[in-house]
Amino acid sequence: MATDPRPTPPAPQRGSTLILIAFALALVGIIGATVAFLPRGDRPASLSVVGGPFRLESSKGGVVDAQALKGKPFLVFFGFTQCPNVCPTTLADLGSLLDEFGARGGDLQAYYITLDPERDTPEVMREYMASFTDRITGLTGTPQEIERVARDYRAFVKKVPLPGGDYTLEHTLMVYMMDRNGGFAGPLDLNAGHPLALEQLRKLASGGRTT
Amino acid sequence: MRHRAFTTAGLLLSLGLAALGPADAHDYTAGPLKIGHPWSRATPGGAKVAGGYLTVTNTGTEPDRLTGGSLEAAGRGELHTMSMEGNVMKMAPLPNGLDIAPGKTVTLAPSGNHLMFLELKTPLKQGERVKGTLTFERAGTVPVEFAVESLAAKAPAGGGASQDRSGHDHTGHDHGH
Repeated sequence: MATDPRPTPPAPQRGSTLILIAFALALVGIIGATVAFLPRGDRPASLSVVGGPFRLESSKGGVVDAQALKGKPFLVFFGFTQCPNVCPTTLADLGSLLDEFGARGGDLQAYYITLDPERDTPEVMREYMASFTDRITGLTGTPQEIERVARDYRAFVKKVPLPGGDYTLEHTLMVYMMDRNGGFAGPLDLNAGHPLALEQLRKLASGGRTT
Repeated sequence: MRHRAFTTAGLLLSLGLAALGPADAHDYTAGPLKIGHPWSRATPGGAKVAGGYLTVTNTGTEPDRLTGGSLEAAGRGELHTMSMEGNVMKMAPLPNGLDIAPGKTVTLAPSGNHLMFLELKTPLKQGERVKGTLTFERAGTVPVEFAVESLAAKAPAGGGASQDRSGHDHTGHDHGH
């Protein structure tokens, strides 16, 4: 009895093993191809759900057209000049970071877009932005233009009435990193310290992934 | 003996301030309230608003309430609160003021409750002291000065600024090195 060959596995079982192996190989192939072709920093702008074209009045005079920024990564930040706490400190911090990046041979521009176009006229923006680095440009426009750019950037804004009759704004407080195609490349983290933020800027400028 | 106790307390206080306090901390007393280092921030060109920050400790047995503040350079002042919800900055007025319970310290800071001065007439410049007031329900209106920190200040100056804290030190052994 010991010489009897063991019965070979039934054909259907062997067949299903082969199918499983083939399926696993196919899966690996699909995943590999997907990873290989995943969009990098230079993905087409059309795939990005954050960001969009804009044409706004510059604090430096004239207009800034997002079309003209093609080929160059840039930063965007929303706020308003009658913001007492976080807008000016973020502008000052971002300004010193961009200057530091500049001193290392980098060159990135940031755009500070007001969410308060009624009060933040080009003249108000010009005077306000003069307190910060040249690498940040203030932008304003008509209420409709501002509403549109805020919507494209998925920026939240809400007017809050104040007891004295004035109003203040609640708004998204994030520095958007935009790649050379105008696509959203992730938020810049200013709270983790300048060395990490500089690394994020370096990756953005070199066209790689930033997050 | 009273004098010595006072001197010791003063010494400890200055050591404490030298170790962790702002470079030129200044304090006020209004009855049982101790008001610590009111400060503001240099304002960008043409800015119409400024923030006011400080600490208040109630060393008494009765509760008090901070109801507002003013700045000579500004039309009016309001108490507000700021908070972050994810990436969104939320703002709300505090029309009822801020309770200061006995034994408690209330902190006004850029990232939370703060005074907002509106209708700013003249810009605030780093390094200056600007006159203002704080108003309390029981302690009344207290004149204070706000120390103006840098445009980027998120907290009262410490660190680097403490090096030029006192001119006297430089006349001593410091120059020997």
